[in-house]
Amino acid sequence: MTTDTSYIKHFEQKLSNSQLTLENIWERLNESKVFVQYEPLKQTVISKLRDAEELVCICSSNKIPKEILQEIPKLSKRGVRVYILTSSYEEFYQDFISEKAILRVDTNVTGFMIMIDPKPKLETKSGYLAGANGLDVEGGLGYLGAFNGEQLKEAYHYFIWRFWNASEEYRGYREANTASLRSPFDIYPLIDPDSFFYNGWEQEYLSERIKSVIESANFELHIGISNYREYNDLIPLVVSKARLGVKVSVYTDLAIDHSFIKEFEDVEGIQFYSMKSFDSFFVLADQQKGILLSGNQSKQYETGIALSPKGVGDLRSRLKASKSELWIFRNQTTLDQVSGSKVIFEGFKQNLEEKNIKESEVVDYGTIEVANLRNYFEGIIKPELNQDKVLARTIIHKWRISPKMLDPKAKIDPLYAKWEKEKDKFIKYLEQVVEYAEMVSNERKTVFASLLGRFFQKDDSTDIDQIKKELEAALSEIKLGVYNWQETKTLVETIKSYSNSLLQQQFELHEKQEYYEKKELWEKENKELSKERKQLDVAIDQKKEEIALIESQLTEVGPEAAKHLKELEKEIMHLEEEIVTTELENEELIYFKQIEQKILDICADLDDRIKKFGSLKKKEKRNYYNNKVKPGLIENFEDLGEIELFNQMMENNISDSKEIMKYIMKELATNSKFRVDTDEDQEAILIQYEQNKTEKIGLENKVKAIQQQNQFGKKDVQKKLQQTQKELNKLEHELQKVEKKQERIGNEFSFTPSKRQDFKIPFSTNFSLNFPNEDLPKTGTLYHIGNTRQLAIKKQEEIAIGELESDRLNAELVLS
Amino acid sequence: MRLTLRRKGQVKSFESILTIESMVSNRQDIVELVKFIKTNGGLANETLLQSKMGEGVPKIYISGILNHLKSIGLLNPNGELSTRGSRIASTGLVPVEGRGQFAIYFIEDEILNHLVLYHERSKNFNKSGGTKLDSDPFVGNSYRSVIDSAEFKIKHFESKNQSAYLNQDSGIYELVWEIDVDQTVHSKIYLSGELKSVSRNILRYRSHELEGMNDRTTSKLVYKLIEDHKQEGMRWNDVTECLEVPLDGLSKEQYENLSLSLNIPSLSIKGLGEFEATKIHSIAIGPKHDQDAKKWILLLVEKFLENGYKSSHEILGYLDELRQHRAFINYQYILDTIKIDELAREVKERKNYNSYWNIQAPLDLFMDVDERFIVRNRRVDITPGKELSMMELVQEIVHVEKPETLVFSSKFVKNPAQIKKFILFVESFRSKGVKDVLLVTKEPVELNDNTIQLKLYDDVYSGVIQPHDRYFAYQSEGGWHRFKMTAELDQCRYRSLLNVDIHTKGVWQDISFMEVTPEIFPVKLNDKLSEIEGVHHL
Repeated sequence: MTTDTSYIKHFEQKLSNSQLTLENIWERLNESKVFVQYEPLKQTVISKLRDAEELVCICSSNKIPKEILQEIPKLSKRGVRVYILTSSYEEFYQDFISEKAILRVDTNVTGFMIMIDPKPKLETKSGYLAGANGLDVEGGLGYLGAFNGEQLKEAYHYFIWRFWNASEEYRGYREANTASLRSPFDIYPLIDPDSFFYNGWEQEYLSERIKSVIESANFELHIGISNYREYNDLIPLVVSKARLGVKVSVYTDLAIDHSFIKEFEDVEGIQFYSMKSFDSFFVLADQQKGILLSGNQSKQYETGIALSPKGVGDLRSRLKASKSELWIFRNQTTLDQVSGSKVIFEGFKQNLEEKNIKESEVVDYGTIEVANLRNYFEGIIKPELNQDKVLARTIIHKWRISPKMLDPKAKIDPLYAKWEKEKDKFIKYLEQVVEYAEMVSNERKTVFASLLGRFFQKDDSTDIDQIKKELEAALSEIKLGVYNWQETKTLVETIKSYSNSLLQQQFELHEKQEYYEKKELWEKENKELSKERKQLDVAIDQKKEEIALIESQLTEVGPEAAKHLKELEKEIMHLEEEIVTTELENEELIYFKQIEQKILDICADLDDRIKKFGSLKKKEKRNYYNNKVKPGLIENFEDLGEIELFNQMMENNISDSKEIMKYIMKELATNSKFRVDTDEDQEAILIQYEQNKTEKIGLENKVKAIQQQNQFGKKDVQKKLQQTQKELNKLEHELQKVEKKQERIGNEFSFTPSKRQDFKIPFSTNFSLNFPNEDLPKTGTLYHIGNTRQLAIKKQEEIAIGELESDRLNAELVLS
Repeated sequence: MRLTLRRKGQVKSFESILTIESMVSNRQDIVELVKFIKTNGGLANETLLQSKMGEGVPKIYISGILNHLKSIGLLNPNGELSTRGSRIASTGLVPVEGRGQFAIYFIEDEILNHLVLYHERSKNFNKSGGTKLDSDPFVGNSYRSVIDSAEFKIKHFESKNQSAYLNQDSGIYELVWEIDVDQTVHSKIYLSGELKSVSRNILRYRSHELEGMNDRTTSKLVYKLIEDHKQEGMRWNDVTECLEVPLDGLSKEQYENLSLSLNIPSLSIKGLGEFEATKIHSIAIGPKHDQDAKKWILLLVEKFLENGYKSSHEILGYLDELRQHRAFINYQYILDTIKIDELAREVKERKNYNSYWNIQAPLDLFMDVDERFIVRNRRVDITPGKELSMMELVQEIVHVEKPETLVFSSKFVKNPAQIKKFILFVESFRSKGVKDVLLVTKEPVELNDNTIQLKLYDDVYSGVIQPHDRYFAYQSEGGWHRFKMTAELDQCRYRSLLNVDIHTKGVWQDISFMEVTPEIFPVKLNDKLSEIEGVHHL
C-alpha cells in the first residue's frame, strides 16, 4: 500500500439532533443545584450509642460498619451490654464482639434498628429505625426514624422475640453450641402491634398498614420502597388513587430492577424518581400520614413504624432538598426536551447505562472507497447519514472518499509484451526485406557493371528502389510510433509480392550471369580435351607395336617340345570328344550318379560330425548342431533340390541333436529316390566315363609342365612385356578419361540453369503477424492482477477516454 | 464412698482318710423321682410311686425305694419331701458320699475363718509323718469348690485321733473386699489365687465371689478410715457425713463434683486382719467455713451457667438444690442472701464470659408478658413473705367460678416437696368441683393418685420448643381460663411437709398467677384443651 494519502478527499456536514427520540430514560433534575448533605446516619447512630447506660440492641440486615463496631469495646468498658441481631455473620465482627457482645443471626432480620436502654426501668430510652442500607451509603436521604414510647416497647418486644429465636450465635471467642441457643424462658411473638409493624409468615401487619396509609391519601402520595415487586399487590391500589387525581411520586434506587414501572404504564399522574443511594423507605400520604419502612429485599419480616406529622414533614423536606440528586423517568421524550447533561437509559432487568449528552458529536463514517473513478473525481459520493443513536445535540458527520487505486501487486498487462513482440518481429522482417532489396539492388549493379560492356541489357532497377523506399518509410513510421497498424496486413502482402519480384529479378540476374560464365568455360575445356586426345591416340599406337614385338620373342619354343605339345593337344581333344559324347548319351545316368555321390558325401560328413559330437560338452552340442550342422545340411539339401524332404524330416521333432543327425543319415541311406539301379552295361559306361575324365586331366597337366619348362631363361622378355603392357593400359585408361570428359561436356554447348532452390529469399516469406485482438489502451496503463485487469490513469482529464478504454479492455479503471 | 480392701495369704492342705459328701449331677434316677414327687404334691407314698413306676412293679420294691429315700434324708419319715429333697429337685444335684484318702485345701483367714477351697483323692498318704489336726472347724460345713463350684461337705474323719499330714505351703489366695457405702447392697468379698495340687500341679482360680459372707456395717468402718487418714485441715462431719475441706488446694474436678479420694496405706484392722494400701473414692466434701462456702457456691453456679442460657428461675432452682446438698446444709443462710444480678457481676469479674452472658442476656432480654394479653382482674400477685394456704390461693384464682377440669403444665413436678404442693393445689381445685385433672410434666412421676392423668412434655410438646414457664387452665361452664405462673408452686414453703393439708398456711416467695389470652398460651397445650373439650361435649 502506498502511504500517500493525498488522493483522499475529506467531507463534513453539520446537522441538528434535537428531535432525537429517547425512550425509557432517567433524566437528571436540577443538576446544577447543590445537594444538601445530611449528617451520615453512621455518625448519628454513633452519637446515640454514646448515650447508652446499660443496654444496646442493634438489629441490622446489612453488614455492620466498622465505625459502629468500634463503639462496642467502649460501651463494654462502661458496662453496657450489646446485643446484635444480624442476617449473617462476618468474620471481622469477632474482634469487636469478643467478651463484649452477643451476636445472633436471624436470616429474617430486616433493615437497621437500634435501641438504647429500651427496658422500662432504665433511664435513657430511645430507638431508631432506618433503611437497611442506611449505614452503607452516603448521599442518600439519611433519615433516622425515632421511636416513640409505644414503638420502642413493641420494637423491643420484637427484638427479644427475634433474638431468642435466632438460629446461630456468636460471642467472638467461640461459637456457641446449638443446645445453648435456646431461650431460657417462653418467647411470645409481637401480636397485633399498635405502632411497630412487621410482615411475618402468618401476619402482614405492615402491608395492611401501608395499604391504609395509601388509601388515606387525597392529594398526593410519596412512595419509596426497596422492592416494588414484593409489594405488587399495592400497585392496583396506587393506580386507582392516581386515577382519582392523587399525585403519586414513586422513588426507587437506580440500581434495582425497575420493571415494575411497566405496571403503571398508561396511568397519568404517577411520576417515577430514582436516586443513586436511596436509603430511606416510606409511604407518605398528604402532609400528615406516613409510615417509615426498614427496606428489605423481601417484604417478609420487613418492619416499619408510623410516622408522626413532624416525621412526614421531615421526610418531605428531605425529599425536596434532594431534588438535585433525583432522576425522573421519561418513557418517551426528545433530546431538546432534556435540559440536563446526562441521561440514564433504563434497561429493565439489564444494566443501566448512564450517558452524557454532548453538545456535539462527530460521526465519522470512515473512508469510502469509490469504485467509480468519475464519482471520485466529481466527489458526489456520500454515506447514509444516521444520528439516531447519537446522544448529542449537534452531529458533525464526517467522511472521506478514496478512489479505487491501482493494486500495488498489479503487473503490466502482457498485452504490451505481445504487441512489442509482434512489432519487433515485424520490424525485423521489414528490415530483412529492405536489406534483401538492398542486396538485390547491389547485385544488379555489380552484374550490370561487369556485363554491361559486352551485352546490352535493360535495367529495371527502379522497381527495387521503389520497394525499398516504400518499406523504409513504413519502418521509420513504426519506429516513430506513428505507423497505422491497420495497414500491416496489406503491407505484409505487398512485401510478399515484392519479395517474389526481388527473387525473380535476382534469379534472372544470376541466370544471365551463369549462362555467360558457363559458355565461356565450356569452350575453353573442349579445346583442351581435343588436343589431349590426339596426343594419346598416337602414344597408344606406338605401344601396341612394341608389345607385338615382345610377344613374338616370348612364344618362341624348341622344335621337340613343340611337337610333343601338338600331340598332347590332339589327345586331349580326342578325350574331350568322348567325354562329351558319353555325357550326351547317358545324361540321366550320370546325373543320378552324381546325386548318389552327393548323398554319400552328406552321410560321410554326418558320420564325422556324430563322431565329433562325443567330444563336445552337452551345452556346446546344441550350438554346434544349430550353427554348424544344420546350415550345412540345409545347403546340401537345397543343392539337391530336396529341401522339402529336409523339412519333412525336421517335422519329427527329435530333440536330441545327435539323434536328428542319425535319423537324417538313416533316411538318406534308405531313401530309394537316391538309389540308382544300374545294369552291367551302364556300369561299364560309367567306369569308362570316369576313366576318360581322369585321363584328360593327366594330359592337361603334362601340357602345363612342358610349357613351363619352355619359359625358363626368358624372364627379361617376360618382364619387358609386362612393363609395356602396363604402359599401354595406362595410356588407354587416360584416353578413356579424356573421352569421357569430352563426352560429358558434349559436342555442342548447352545451358542448363542451376536449380531454382539455389536461389532463395534469405528469409522466410511465409511471414505472418499475430497481433493481439486488442489494441493497447489509448490512455493510461493496463495492468493485471490475477485474472483482473486494471487500467490505471493519473489525471481527471483521462477519465473520458479511460472509461471507454477500460470498457473495451474489460478492465477496472483505477487511479495510479 | 467406695473402698476396696485386699490381702494375700497362704493356702494350706492336709491329707486324711475322710468321708466326703459331694453333690453329683449323674443321679438322674433320683432327681427324676424327687421331681416327680415335688410336682405331685410333695408327699410320697406307695400309690404315688406305683403310678410313676407302673402296675408291674412289685410293692416290695416300691416300699424299698421309699425307705431308701427316707434313709438318705430326701424324704421326711412321714413321706414329705425334705428341704434337702426339694433342693435336689431344683438343682438336679444329688449328695453322694465317698470314703477314702483325700487331700483337703483350706485357708485360715480372720474374716473367712477356716475355709475349705477344694478337695481331691490322694494316694501318697504318709501315715507316719502326720500331725494331729483339730477336725472341728471342718466337719459338717458345706463348701463350694473354687475350681469347679461343686458343693461338698466333710462328713467325718475316719481315724479317732484325726491325725493328718499337714502342708503349710499349698498355694496362695487373694481376698478382695469391695465396699460401697452409698449403695444399699451388701459389700462383696472375692477370692482368687492358685493351689499346688498333689495330682495336677498348679490350679488357678479367679474372682470367686463368696456368698453370704457379709452382714457387717461397713459405713462405720469407712468413716473411721476417713477419720484416721484424712489430710491435715480436713474435718469429718459425722452429722452431714461430709468431709469438710479447705477450698484452696482442691482440684476443679473435686470442687465441682463435691467429692475427693483418699489414699489409705497398708493397715491392720482389729478383728479383720491386715490389708494392702488402698484408696477411698468419692468421699463427699463440703466447705469448712462460710467464706469458702460462698466462694464454692459461686464456682458451682459458674459451672452451672456454662451450659446454655439460664433464666433467673432456673438459677434460683439451682441455688435451692445446693441448699439441700449436705455440703451446704450448714450454709443455707449464705445461699438465701445471694441475688442474681450480684451473681452476674461476680461471674463477669471472674472473666468467665461464657457463664456471664448465659446469666446476663436472659436478664437483659427478658420477655414479660404483654399487659394486653393478661385478663384484667384475673391476676393474683403474691408478695414475698405472704402467708397463704393452698385453698386460699385457689379461691383467689377461681373466685366464683365452678371449675370442672384442671390442666397443669410444669417441668418441675419432680421432687417429693414439689409433688406434695401440686397435690395440695389439685385437692384445693377438687374441693371447688374439679373432677378431671391432667398433669403435663417432664418426667414420669409417682403421684399416688390414680385420678390424675399424666402426660409427658415430649408427647404433648413434640415438634415445638417446650415451654419453660408453668401454665394451667381450668374449664368452667364450657369456657377455659388459661393461667401463666411466674414461678413454681414450690415458692410456697411449709414449716414441715408432714401433716400439711389444703388449709395449712405456707410462706410464699414472689409469684404471680395471671390469666392470659389464648394467643400466648402454649399452642400445643391449647390443642390439648380443645381435645379435652371435645371429649366432654360428647
